[in-house]
Amino acid sequence: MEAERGDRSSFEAYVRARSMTLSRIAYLLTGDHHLAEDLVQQTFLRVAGRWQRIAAEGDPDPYVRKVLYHEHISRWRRARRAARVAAEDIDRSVPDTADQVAIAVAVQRALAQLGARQRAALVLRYFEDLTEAQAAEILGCRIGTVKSQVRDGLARLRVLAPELAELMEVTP
Amino acid sequence: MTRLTEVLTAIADGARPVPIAEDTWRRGVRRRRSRVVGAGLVIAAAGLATTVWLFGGGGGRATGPGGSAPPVVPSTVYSPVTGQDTVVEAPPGPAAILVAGDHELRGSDIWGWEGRSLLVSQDGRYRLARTVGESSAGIAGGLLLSPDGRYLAGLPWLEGASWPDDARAQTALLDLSTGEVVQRDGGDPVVWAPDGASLLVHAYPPDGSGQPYRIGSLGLLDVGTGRTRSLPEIRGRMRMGNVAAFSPDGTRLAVATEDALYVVDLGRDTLVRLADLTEHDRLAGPGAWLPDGQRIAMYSMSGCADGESCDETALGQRRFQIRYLDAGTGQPAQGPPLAVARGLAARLLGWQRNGAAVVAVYSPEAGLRKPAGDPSWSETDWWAVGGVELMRFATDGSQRRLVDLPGSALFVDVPANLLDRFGGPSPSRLEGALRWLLALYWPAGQVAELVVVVVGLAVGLSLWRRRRRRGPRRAAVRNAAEGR
Repeated sequence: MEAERGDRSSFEAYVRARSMTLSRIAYLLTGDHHLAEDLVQQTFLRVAGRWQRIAAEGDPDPYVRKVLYHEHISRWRRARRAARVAAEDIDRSVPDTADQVAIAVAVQRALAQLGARQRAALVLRYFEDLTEAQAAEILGCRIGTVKSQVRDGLARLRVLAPELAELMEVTP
Repeated sequence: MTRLTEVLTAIADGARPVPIAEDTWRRGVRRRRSRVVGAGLVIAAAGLATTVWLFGGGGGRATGPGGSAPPVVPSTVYSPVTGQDTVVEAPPGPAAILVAGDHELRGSDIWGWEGRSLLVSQDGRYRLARTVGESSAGIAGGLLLSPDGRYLAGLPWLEGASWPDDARAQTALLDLSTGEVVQRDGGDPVVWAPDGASLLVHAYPPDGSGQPYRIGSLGLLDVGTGRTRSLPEIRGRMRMGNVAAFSPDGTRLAVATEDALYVVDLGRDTLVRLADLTEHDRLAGPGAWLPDGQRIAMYSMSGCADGESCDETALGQRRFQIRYLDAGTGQPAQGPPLAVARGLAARLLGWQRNGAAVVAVYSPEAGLRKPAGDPSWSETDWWAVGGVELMRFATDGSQRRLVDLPGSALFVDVPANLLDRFGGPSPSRLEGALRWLLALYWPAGQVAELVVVVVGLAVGLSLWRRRRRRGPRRAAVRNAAEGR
C-alpha cells in the first residue's frame, strides 16, 4: 500500500512536470487541441497502469513518448479522417495576417496531409531533435525506415506546399 | 536549428496545457488490472480448450445400438511408433482390434520380423504382434482374436512361439493378459467358436500330399485341454478368407469350398452338403450365420471371377451382393437387404444387435493382375490385398466406416463379442498427430524421431554442462561485487 502511494506520487509529479511537453508533441502530431488533449490523457492512462515497472527502469520519458507516438499512430489508423477534419478547422481558426503565422498554418495544413508515421518521424527529428536511432527506438522500427519516412515526408511537404520550398531545405 | 524546426516549435507553442483528471492514476491502474485479468481469463480459456482438444479423445462416436456396455473399439487406429512394446514384452490385456499391414505398421521394426500387426487393447494400449511371415486374412498366416479378445491365435511363427521341428501343424495361442504362448497340435487356426472355448483348425495330410488351398483335415481344438476332435472330411479347394463360420450357438459349422457349402452338425458329427456354389459364390465370412441360427449369409460376386484375367481396376470394382440361404434346406431365404460391397474381397465378421453387418472390405494391391485360372490365386492373401476398410452395412441400405485405420492396413480383426462396441476412445489428437507424422514416408519418420531424441539429449547435456561451468564463475563475480 505504501509502495503504491509512492508510485502514485511519483506518477503525479511526472505528469505535472511533463504534461506540457507532451501536449506540444501531441498538438504537432494531431494538429488539433482536442485530439491532442485526448491523446495525452490516454497516454497517461496507459502509463499509470504500468508505472511501477516504468519507474523502476529509470527515466520514464522514453517509454511514455513511445506510448504517445504509438497511440497516435493507432488512432490515426482507426480514424484517418480525424486529422483531415482538424486541418480544415485550423484553416478557419488561425488568422492569415503575418508571414510567420501564414507559414505555420501552411506547414500545419501540409502536416495534416501526411501519414501518421511520416508526421511522427518529422516531429521526432525536427521538433524533438532526436537522432535517427532514437526516433527508430521510439517508433519501434529500423533506422532505415525512419530515414525513408523523413525523406518521403519532406518530399510530400514540398509537393503539398511548394511555396515553402525554402523551408524544406533541411538536412534530414 | 533548421527553419522547419523553428516552424514546428512555433506551432507547438500554440498547444494548450492538457487538463489531467485527478483520477487518472486510479482509472489507469484499474484499467490495467481489468485488462490483465481479462487477458488471463482468455489465455486460461484458450489453454483449457487447447488442452481438452489436444488431450481429449480423438473421437468417440458411440455406434452400438443402445447397448449398455461402453464402446471400446477405437474410432481411429494410428500407427505404432519406434520402441513400441510387443504383446510378449508387455502384455496389454484383452484386445479391441488387430490391424495388420505394411510400411508404417511395422513401427521401428524395419529389418526384423516380416509380419506387422498392431494390436490395440480394450484400455487403449498399443502393442505390436510380430510374426515371421506376412499376415493374411483368414487361415494360413492370419491372426485371429478370440471372441472376448483375450487370446490371439496364429501359426507357431508368432513371437513367443517356436516352430515345431517336425511337420506337425500347430496353433499358437497367445494369452494377451499374461504374454504366455501355448502351442497346440491339430492344425492351423481357421475360426474361433462363439464361446471361445474351441477353435476350428485345419491340417494338410502328414504325408505332404496336401495342395495349397485344399481344405485337408478339419478339427475342433479344445483350447483348454489341447485335444483336437476330428471333423467329417470335406474335400475341395477353399477361399481362405471365407472358408468357415460357426452358428451362433456353436453347435453347427458352415464350411465352403469353391463348389459347395457344407454344414457340420458338431453334436451328431454329421455332414450335409447344403448347396452348390459357383465361382461367383462366397460364404460371407466368419460371421456368416445370422443371429437366429436359421440362415447363412452368402456373397454373390459379380465382376472378375476365377477363370478370368483382369487388372487392378477390375478387381477393385468387383461387387459383393449379400444373399441368404436357409441353414436347414439350403434354399434361398429372406434377410436384411444390405448394400453391395465393392472391392477385391469382403469378409463379414458378424452382426450388430440392430441387424447391421460388420464387414471387412478389401481393395487390391497397386498393379495387381490376376491371371486366368491361376491355382495359387487367393483374393485375401497378403500379396493381393492393398488396403482394407472396416464397414458397417445397415439394414436401411446405408454403409459407413467404423474405424479409421492406418493407410497401410491390409487386414483387420475385431473380437466377435465387441461388434456392438465401436466408437471407443482413440489416442489424443496430439498423440494421434505425432503418430501420424512419424508414419509419414515410413521409415523416415521413425528415423527422424530417433534423431530428435538424440539431438534433444545432446542439447540437454550441453546446456547442463554449460550451467555447471557458469555456476562457479557467477559466484566469483557476485563475491567480487559484494567485496567492492
